[in-house]
Amino acid sequence: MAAMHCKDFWLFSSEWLEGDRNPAAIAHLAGCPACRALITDLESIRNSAHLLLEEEPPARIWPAIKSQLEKEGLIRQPKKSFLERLFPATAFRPALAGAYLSFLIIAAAALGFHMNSVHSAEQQSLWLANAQDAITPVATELGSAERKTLPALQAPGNDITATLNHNLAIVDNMISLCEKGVRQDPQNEMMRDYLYSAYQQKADLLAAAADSEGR
Amino acid sequence: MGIVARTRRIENGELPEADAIRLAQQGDAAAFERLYQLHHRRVYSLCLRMVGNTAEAEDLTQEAFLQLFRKISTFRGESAFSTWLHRLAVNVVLMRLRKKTGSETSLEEVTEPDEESGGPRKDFGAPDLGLSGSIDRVNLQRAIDQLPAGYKAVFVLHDVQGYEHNEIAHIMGCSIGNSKSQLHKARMRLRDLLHEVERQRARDERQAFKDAAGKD
Repeated sequence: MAAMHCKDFWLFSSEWLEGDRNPAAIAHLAGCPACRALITDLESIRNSAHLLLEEEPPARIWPAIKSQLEKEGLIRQPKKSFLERLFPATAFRPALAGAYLSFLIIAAAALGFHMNSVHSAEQQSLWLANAQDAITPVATELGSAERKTLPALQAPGNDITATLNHNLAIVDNMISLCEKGVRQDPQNEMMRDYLYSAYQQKADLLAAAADSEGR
Repeated sequence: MGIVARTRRIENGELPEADAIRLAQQGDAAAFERLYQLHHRRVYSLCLRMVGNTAEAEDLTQEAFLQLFRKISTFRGESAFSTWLHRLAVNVVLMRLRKKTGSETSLEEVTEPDEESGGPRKDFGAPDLGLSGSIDRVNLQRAIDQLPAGYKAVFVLHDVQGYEHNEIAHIMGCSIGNSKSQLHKARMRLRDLLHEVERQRARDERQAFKDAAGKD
């Protein structure tokens, strides 16, 4: 084993701090107070670096950055869905979203019922077309709301989730049957009534699922 | 993920970094803020340790994040996001230091080995006072302030912030060996500076003792 001199040990000191215990370095250190002092100092410096903890910057930095990003056009507002454009508060309140869906369904139902007071075939066709136009966005939004609440509906080992899923399956089956009935006989008042009620129930269930996710 | 759930996760600070990066690349305001929240302490602390001045550190933090967000669409994930961000921040700080000193300090130049400072001290072999227990936060920061920019950056990244040499090499754009060498020299220089503080303190104490004795 070649003897290590002070100059060599100084160059080797970083490896020593990293845990490298070269036998020549051990031998040198045993007989050299200056190099022992060096190692003690370097260890103190390294350990003292932890005194310089992370510091919290002033809160004003982020607003300044955001303002600059907005000026430069780098920040855009998120795209809003049909529902959010019509009723912005629903973006943060799933229960309100459900209530709004319910409102749409009731409106669509009212449109359908109104058809009964219209007698001519031409008027009936027009009202039927209007009712269909009113239902389409409702059905689309129901589908969208269902996709958004999927995480809540897939939460494992939860009694509420299991009940919601069970009830949703029943309502989906009902919707499917009613939609088929309405397609076959668009003027069947009772079938339309059932369909609107099923939509209403599904909206309520999805709102409940979204609320359970938020808790 | 729907907008409701995403907004809620961002508000709760739960959005993972990878999702925040992807959304920020699309210009999502909440994602920008999430990335800022995830990294602002480390970036600010790095700037503060490098310049030793809170007002300037604040300004540099702002500049580093602005550069980050301007370039975020180019981030492809080849390196860790924090490494990429720290590289930007170190560059911003070094550019500022270069402007202040008026010298042509570049990232490459500040990491070049310095033979003079790499060798043993001139008073090698002289009795040492020993630093153990005498290093406080203020003295250490003052000593760091006096380091050359390259030494300072490597010391702060490695010993203060805990980065490994391979990460520092990536951040600083140098080799791993160069990072190790810079760290060694930074610690050696800090030792000299801290010893100087100790010697000055001893001189002050002696002078105070003499002054007190003279009055008696």
